[in-house]
Amino acid sequence: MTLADMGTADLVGTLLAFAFTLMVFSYILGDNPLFRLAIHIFIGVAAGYTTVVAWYNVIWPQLILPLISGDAANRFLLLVPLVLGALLFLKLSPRLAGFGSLALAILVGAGAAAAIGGAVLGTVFSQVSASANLFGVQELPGGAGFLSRLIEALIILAGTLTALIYFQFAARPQPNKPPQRPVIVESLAWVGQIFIALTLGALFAGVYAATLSALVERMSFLVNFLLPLIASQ
Amino acid sequence: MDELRCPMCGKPNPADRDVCQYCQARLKPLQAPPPEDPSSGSQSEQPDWLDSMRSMNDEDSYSEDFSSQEYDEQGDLPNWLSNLRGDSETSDDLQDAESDESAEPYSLSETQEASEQGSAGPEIESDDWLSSIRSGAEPESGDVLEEAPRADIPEDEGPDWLERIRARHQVESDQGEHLSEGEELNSTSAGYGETGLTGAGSGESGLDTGPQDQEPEASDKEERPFSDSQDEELPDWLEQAESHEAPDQDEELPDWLANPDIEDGAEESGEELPDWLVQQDVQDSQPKEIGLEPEAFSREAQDAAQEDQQGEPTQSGETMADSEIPDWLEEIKEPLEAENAAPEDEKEEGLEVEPLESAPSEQEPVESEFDLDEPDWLRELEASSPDLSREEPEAETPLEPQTPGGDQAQASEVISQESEEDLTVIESGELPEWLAGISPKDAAYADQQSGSDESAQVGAFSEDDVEEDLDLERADLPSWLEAMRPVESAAAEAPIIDVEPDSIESAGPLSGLHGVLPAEPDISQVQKPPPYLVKLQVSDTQQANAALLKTILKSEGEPRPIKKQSRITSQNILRILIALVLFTAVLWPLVTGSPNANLPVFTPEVGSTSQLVNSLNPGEPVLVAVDYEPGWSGEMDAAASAVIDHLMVKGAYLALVSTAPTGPAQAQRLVTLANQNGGHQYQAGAQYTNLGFIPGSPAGLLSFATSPQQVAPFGQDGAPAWERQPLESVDALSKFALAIVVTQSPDTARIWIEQVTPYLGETPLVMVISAQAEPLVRPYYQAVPQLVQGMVTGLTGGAAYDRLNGRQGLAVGYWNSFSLGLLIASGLILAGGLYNAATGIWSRSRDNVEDEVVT
Repeated sequence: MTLADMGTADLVGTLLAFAFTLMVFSYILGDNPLFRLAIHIFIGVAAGYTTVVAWYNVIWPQLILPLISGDAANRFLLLVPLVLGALLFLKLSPRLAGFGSLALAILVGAGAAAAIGGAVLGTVFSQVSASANLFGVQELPGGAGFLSRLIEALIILAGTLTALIYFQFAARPQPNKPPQRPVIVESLAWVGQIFIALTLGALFAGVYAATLSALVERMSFLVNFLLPLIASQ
Repeated sequence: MDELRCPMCGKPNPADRDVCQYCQARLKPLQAPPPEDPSSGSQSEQPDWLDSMRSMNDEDSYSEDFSSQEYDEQGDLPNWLSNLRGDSETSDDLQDAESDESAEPYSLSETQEASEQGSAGPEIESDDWLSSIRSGAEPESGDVLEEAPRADIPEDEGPDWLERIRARHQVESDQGEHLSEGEELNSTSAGYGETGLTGAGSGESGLDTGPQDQEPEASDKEERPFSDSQDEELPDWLEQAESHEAPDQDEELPDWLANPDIEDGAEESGEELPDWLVQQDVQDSQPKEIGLEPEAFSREAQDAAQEDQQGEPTQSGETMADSEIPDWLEEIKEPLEAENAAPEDEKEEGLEVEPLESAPSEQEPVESEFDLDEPDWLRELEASSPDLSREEPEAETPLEPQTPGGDQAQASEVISQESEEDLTVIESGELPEWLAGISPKDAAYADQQSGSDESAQVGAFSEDDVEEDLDLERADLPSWLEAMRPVESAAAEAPIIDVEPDSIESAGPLSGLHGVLPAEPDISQVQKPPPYLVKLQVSDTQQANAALLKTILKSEGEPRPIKKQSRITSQNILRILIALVLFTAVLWPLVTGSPNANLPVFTPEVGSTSQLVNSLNPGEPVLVAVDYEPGWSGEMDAAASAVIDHLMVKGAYLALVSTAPTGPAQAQRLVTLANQNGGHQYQAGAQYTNLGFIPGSPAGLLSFATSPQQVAPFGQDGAPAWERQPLESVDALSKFALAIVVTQSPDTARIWIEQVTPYLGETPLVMVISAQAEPLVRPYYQAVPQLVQGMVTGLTGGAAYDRLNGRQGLAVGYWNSFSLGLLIASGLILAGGLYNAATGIWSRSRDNVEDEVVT
């Protein structure tokens, strides 16, 4: 699609995208006002869009509109979130911030409960059972695959345990010596340190791949934007 | 009510009191005092003879001859002697006085008693005892007369009665009593002072005798009023005199009367002066009335008294034989001289430097005799005054010339010469030799003792004298201590209380005396303390160090200027180079289309995802959660577009939802890209519904999972989303055929897994995630049972998914640049690692070499 085929909105958008791309690329030369301008614009646009989405997707259709046109029961029920929301706004005043503690407590409490419940049920239990099931006879295939799966399971188990042992920093004080962990703990922590390093390396590779993908996409955008211009001339 | 005047302080006291209410001195003698003679006309208890003596002394009676003072109006008898005659009748009191050891001159008490007994006419009574004396009294030993300054009395002026007394009285048997009396007199000499002169209150008449007893010893009694001892026992000679009063005329005169040359004969002949007479000589050194009292007399009196005690013969009859001066007076001098010549350390100890302060206990009966015409005692003092320095107390020598006591005439001449010289010196205002011999140190010390506040003198005495005496080396103070020494500049200017050296004491028992220690303590004298300036003595070096320290401390609070760093550095250059390399690696394939890299091989998780999507029927609702940020669009669009394209190919109904505020926009973009790249015509509401934004993160997602229609009732277009097919029958997440979560954050993926998976039931869950989230999401895929049934990871997964489906999506177009970029990045990382390793090894080896060199 060439620039000529674009509509006005698309054209403006494309031009702005090109400009902001170059502004962000200017960071290669160091921190500069163009980069900061682009950053500030991105943050502002994101905040504005979020506000609009929150109003049009949540507050208006789920609070205001039912209060206006809903039935009495709904209105009565909706008074609760209305009051809590109003109290939450009082957090802006230092003198009246105490009144917003109730709403904030409900939010924090509900969020903590959901997070903790999900973590325990969805991650801890499942991951622990999964780690244990690696050594299940049912899961291990027979034949040649058994050994490989067994070794894999052992490695996974060793990596998991040693990585957890690495984060055990309890040590006994000794006279005229700095506190040190026991020797066996120190050894296992060293192995776990290796697994942790490998994990961090993998994470770094993924991050690099992701950023490289972003770079490729932007470069492709620039090429697709400029080539037609260049080609047209 | 009658009043008694205290003999010590002179203050009146009630008559019924025995002790003075002011100074606690005895007002009444221990013995019952005789009633006062009303005709005496005096309120005091002083005998008349004593008063007369006083009056004569006050009138500067030193120049008067003893004879002139002594004689009464009649001109025959001395007054004191006449007075004594009156006291001779109190014989009973003598015995009591002997047992009393209070410090009062027994002679005085004796005279008091005599006066109290109502000797109205001392002149008349004197005749009686005198006659008695004439009859039988023998002159007593001249021990008492030794110190009496009777040299002034010319020999021709001796009364006849006296001569007769000498002849008659012989007091050999009284020597022992005189010795005892002499001890008492010596012990009480210090306290006599004026009391002896005044005679008031001293009162104890140790020697009260009857007139008969006193007659033979009237000459002895001449001295008694001036004697110190208050605890007299009646001397034996006096008692004997009393007993022999009637036939007194037949008795011998006491030695002192018979032989005035007591001094000379004291040692040779073994005679002794009566103690009271000896002590009376000592009392000639009374400071006020007598002036420069010769200490020798006191010493001599003490010496004589001790000799008497020792049993030496009296010296009464030795020296008064031939001189014009009454022999008994001359005899007094010579024995005194002789005795003083003999070294007696005991007698010298009690002597003081200043004869003014010396308190010889005994008061001489004829003090006035020794005043003006250079009394012998004065001469004697002059002779021995250089020896009386305080520094050498032990070296005090007798004042008298060290004549052994042989030649009376020579001694008398010497004494007379000395006394004349002394008087001359005194009259001229010059200090006598013996007084001049006192060093200023002694005077300073005396001043200090007397309460002088002159610090200079005291300091001079305390420091210089100590240094001179002890030859001590001055200690070297350390520098820090020396610096802390207060500057006594103000101390020197402190007010010095000027105490008159000649201030007369007005309170206490020493009232009337001058040059004594004050009765009131210095603490009662309020003085302003001298201000001291405390300044540290700081040297130049210390000041410089202090200034340096101050500068250092001040500089600590000042901010250091930051050096301006240059823009072009090695780090900047390296960063630019790497950027250029990467840009080239990415742009080249995009521009040239080469190299053409092979697409990646699909992984099992990608295959699973493809199978799940292939199993969908057309029109089945699929929940697609688009929860990635716009900044991750490059990767996520490439990965998600492959799956969305496959779903659109399968004709699935898409229900788009997001927990991020920008999710609905991203979801819309994703559908648009899929339509553009895949040639699809998906319309909102017909093929997909955008449910919008779900607030509340995990809580909101949980609520959506439980009741999705209540949480997201409307679509982005505002129309009810759950009233249209196929969502009309979907009231739970488990009614969806497939659930796909597109996110770049591992946390978002975890939340979806944790919150939604329990409510999905049999609905499979597929994750389209970024490459950075894969390590954290893969355990959910590899878990048993699986929580995630399919997974497409980043650009690589998308490319593999497109290759699997045979589609040419965004991932395929980015793959050449992506793969070349990955290769270049790998090369750069490897090269950098190798370079850093080599650099570290080289620097470590260099440090080891340097350490080896240092060691």
